Amino acid sequence: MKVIRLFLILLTAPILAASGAEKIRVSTFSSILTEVAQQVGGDRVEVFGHVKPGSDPHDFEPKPGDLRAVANAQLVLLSAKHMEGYVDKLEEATGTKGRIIHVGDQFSSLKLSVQQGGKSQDGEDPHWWHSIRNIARATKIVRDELIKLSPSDKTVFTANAGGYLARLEKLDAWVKSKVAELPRDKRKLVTNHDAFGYFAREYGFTVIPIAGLSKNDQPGSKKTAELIQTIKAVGVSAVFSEDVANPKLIQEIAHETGAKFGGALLSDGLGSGDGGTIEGMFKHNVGTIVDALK
Amino acid sequence: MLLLAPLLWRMTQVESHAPKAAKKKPPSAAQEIQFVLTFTTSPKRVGIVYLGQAVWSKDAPESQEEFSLKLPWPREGGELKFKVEWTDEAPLSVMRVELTDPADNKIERSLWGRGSVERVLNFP
Ligand SMILES: [Zn+2]
Repeated sequence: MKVIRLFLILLTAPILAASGAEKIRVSTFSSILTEVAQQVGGDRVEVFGHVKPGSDPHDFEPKPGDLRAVANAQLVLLSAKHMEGYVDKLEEATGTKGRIIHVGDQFSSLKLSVQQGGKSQDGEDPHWWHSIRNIARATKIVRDELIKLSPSDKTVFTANAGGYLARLEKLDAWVKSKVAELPRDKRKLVTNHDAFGYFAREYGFTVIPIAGLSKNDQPGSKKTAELIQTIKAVGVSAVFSEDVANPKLIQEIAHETGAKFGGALLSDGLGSGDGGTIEGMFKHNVGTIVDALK
Repeated sequence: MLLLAPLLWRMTQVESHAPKAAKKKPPSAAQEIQFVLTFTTSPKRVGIVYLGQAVWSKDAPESQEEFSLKLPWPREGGELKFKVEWTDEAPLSVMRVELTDPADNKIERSLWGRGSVERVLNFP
């Protein structure tokens, strides 16, 4: 009898372990990190993406539902580089025991000059996801964090991350090839807000932003007039709006400078439809930029 | 509150916002670029794409190929996409590219690969 019971236990144990294995609960505050966590975690994770594709992360404020999810999360992934100004409150209000990972703070920042009250101080550009190399770095960070939470899934997470990193490498090769269609002296990017610094550094563009780092930092009429002069002086052939911003000002600037309106870019994370994946976002942005500036 | 948000400007852009004497640039004129390609294993075929256009290709090139092309080459330099097709039996091979730009700067790049390889190389 004992032997039979032992046999039954041995037979059913792996099934119970597999079916009973709870998914790792991950909360993300960036649509980019939502994709990364899903790709690396696969069916071993349940990802709650708080900042939805097409929404503005600069304006995001957590709601009660977000707080409940964070309270239960085992891993909280933040875009960081000062994007989530609410992070201390989030920690305090939820009392979460989950590991809070400031993903973007683990790789280098583009430095900015912040003008405040006539004084200049150092700042950081939070839009790190416009560099595929940074997304690859984030993938490795997420992989390592998931392994810490579930060491027995190390093989799965490593394989998933490996496959995803290979796809990112292929995407980077596509971007380089597409950008190579554009002469270097035409790589001037006039956008609604200052979101493409990392992209510019990686692929040899100069950015002329209309607004500051956040879309709320809209320029006054004097600044706009200066920008129009600059755009005319450097000879920009197209200007771009963004999916989550009002295109009115950029269209006015296009009209004033004689540059054409090149279309809307996905600046603050994933969009909808074809732009709903990281690959789709890059293909949309790079295709739009290169085809308009050619 | 939003009105009080600090205006943030990228340092490099501060320079680009400064008034400049430069007027709208005409497209770069075609200039002579010299190439020396060296292969550890000669490929079946090699080709160069510049600004989305095939500008040169050769079947069964020698282990060293020297030639020049007239290309619109801005002062900022450019990127060339190389397509190299080694035979499936060829070992891991390398193509060395030595490019001399219109200002007589010599720039060297390498491309490693097996089988069919397509890669963009930056000059400089
Ligand atoms: Zn932004």
